[in-house]
Amino acid sequence: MKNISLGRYLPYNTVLHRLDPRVKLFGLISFMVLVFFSFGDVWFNFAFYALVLVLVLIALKIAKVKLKSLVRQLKPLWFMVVFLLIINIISFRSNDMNILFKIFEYPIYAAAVYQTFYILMRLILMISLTMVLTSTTKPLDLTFALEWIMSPLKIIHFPVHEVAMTMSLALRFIPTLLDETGRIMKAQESRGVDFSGGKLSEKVRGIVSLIVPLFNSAFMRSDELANAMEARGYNPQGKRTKYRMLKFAPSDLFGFILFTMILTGGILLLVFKTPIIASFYELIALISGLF
Amino acid sequence: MNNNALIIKNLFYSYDNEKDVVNDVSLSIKRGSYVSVIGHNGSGKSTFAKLIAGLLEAQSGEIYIFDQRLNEQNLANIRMDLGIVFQNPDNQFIGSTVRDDIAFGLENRQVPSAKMDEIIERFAGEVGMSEFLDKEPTNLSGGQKQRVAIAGVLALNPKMIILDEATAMLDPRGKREIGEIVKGMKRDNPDLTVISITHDIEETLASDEIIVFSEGQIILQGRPEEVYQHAETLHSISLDLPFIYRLKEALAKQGLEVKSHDLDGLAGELWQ
Amino acid sequence: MAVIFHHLDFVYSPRSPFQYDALHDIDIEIKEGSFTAIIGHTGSGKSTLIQQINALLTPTDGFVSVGKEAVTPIKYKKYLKTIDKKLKNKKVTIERKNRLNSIKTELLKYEGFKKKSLRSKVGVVFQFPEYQLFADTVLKDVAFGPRNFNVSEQDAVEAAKHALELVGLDETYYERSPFDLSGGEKRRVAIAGILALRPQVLVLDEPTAGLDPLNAKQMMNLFKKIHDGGTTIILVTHDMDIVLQYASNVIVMKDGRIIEETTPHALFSDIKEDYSLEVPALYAFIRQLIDNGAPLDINKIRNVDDLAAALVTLRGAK
Repeated sequence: MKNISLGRYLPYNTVLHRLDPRVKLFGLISFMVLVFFSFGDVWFNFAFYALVLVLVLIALKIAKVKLKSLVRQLKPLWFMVVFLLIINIISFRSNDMNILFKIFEYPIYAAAVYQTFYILMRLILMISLTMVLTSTTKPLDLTFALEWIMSPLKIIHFPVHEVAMTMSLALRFIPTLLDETGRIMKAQESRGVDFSGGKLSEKVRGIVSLIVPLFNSAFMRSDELANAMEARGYNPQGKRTKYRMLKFAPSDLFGFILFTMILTGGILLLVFKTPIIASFYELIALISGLF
Repeated sequence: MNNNALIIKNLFYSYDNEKDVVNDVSLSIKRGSYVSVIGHNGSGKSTFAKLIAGLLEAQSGEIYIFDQRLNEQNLANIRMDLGIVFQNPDNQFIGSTVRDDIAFGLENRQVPSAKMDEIIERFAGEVGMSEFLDKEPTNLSGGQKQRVAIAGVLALNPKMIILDEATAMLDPRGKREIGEIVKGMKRDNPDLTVISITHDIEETLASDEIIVFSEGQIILQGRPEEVYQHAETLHSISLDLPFIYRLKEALAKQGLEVKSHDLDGLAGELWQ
Repeated sequence: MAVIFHHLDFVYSPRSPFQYDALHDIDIEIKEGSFTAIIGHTGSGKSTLIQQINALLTPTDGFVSVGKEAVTPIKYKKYLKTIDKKLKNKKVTIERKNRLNSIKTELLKYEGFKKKSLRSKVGVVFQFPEYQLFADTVLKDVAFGPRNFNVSEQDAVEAAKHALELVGLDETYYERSPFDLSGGEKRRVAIAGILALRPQVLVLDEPTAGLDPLNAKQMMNLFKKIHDGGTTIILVTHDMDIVLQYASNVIVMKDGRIIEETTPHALFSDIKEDYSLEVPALYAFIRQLIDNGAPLDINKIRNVDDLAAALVTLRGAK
């Protein structure tokens, strides 16, 4: 059960692995923003998504993420996409009534299909980007990054440190709690519970016999943990020094500038979309003219 | 300056529906002693441990730790001199790795970040965990986790360490490892006061003094040789004797009195 | 009901980066009605072994028979077919074929297993079983086991009451919440929960771990009583004094294999270094005396009193 790979951290030593987690988080957010840009022109949108996709694929390659893993993550999406497509087509209302084709006399509007395509692309890109982040960054480093990002909130008395400590404690205990879940399941199975099969009522009884002890144990743990932390002088409101500190290196600055440029580039495209789209079509005309 | 690490006067404590009660307990423990506290479950020894660790507040009575009265105001201060190792190896392991766990106490104490690595490596070495510094707790045995707990406590340079049934959840090997470390600790720090609440009767032979709890009170206190003379009393409260004293008891029943207080000496005395 | 392991192998997460060979060629019988202790260093495979008995884990190869049922890697008939296929396969080594033949011959004596039937016949109590408690009242928790086997509410409660009596908890405990009890009481409720199933084989993994000496003794006496009633007891433990005092047979494991099957006395009289076991203080001391030249017969000494008597006799004779 320890091997749940939700884009799990793979201990390689790539450029992306070495990059400061804060910069990576910033990179993720920048790309997420870009992914939601819409330029009002179908072909340009496709081109734009294609470009972003290329960048993301490059990142995946650098991060040594196997495409197979990515596809596995995306599998549950297909069903949803088909579902969305049907909904979009049925509930379609817009000025653009271009019909793409007809199925048994029922019009399939182009715009509906394009909308669904955009949603699909965004999902793929967001999941891929998140995978890049989680496979190159230790969960703990992510909490450090989040803590750093949240630190300005200290001004409004937001409990930044406590939140960060909670996150890192949670991470520390996930494997322990998973082990405990396994143990409890085995004990209850020995008493006749069948977690896989059985009628609904049996399943419910089974789940209760798993959840109650788990929660009970979790509460007991937190009690003992609190005592231990207190005994070691922990004061959440007090001053503490930090053992692990995120160090910003020149390569991190480079990464930061790169992401900023990409984001800015995207924003500029959006602001100046009209002239740019016009140039885009001129370029296409030029290229097709060559053939 | 007073030579006492711990002074307790007329301590009382009771829960509502728990059996553990502390019933008018008074004692003093000298600085630098290694004291074992024994007693069957419900005798009050666990409650006693929590009271002197400041995790419970007594209903009445006084506790002085290194001459400081233990109360809410002083607690944080007193904790600087006190180290506690608890029973459950997992529930006191806070860091994501061995390093981070030892660092936790240092962070709380506001030790400068630059000095931490040195301290961490030194104390990990003292408990034999140097090869495991970057390991996560899920990959460590109970004994190893307890060793890390001890390292974390030692790194804060306490004057007194309380071991609250620290070996109860360990296998025999783990128990032995911790026992060796505690002995080593005392050798290297003669001034360190160690109070060990334990079930492990053989462990008590290594201590300077044994305190026996029963029904919330201290019924015996003294050096192991003295305490284990009271075989009948100990049997009456369902406590076992260490092997050597059980043997001496059996020999005495056969009319053979022996002098040695350790197994090697006894073997020599019985047969050369 | 005998429990017999037939050339059993077990591998965790086969064909993955986490693959771990936990059990290798386990081939041994645990006699019906015995009080068998399974000992060995941490990681020797003891816990993995006992989980095969009630099919919490199923073997990777070979099988374990519990009475008439055989716990096989896959369904009985399919497994036989797989064996036959391998026997016909030219690429399989003769050694392996011999082993497979052995397994097949034995397997034909048994029938396929049913999880539920197995788990009512074999009760397994894991280490620190208190964590399995979850019901509103002690009685409901103990009755949970029987209820899962389609026993009527009334009969389940009867079985629960009987089991609670066995572990020494009277009616005052019935309606209490299991979470309100002391550690020792919780453990007894958890064990009662398994005893309520009236298993013919009782498997215990370190049942006295973390208990104070008094409670530990009471617990072991309980198991002795159950054993006297005809139940086969399989006890995984690190406590050699318990092995000495209660077990009729001992199985020693090391690195996933069984390295010896013997009696407690024979084991400790001549304990080997590389078993990584803690020798009971009594035997270590006898060895020391023998090394000093004392003509003690280790086979005649079972406890401190025996030793004292022997020593006095010997010294008197000097």
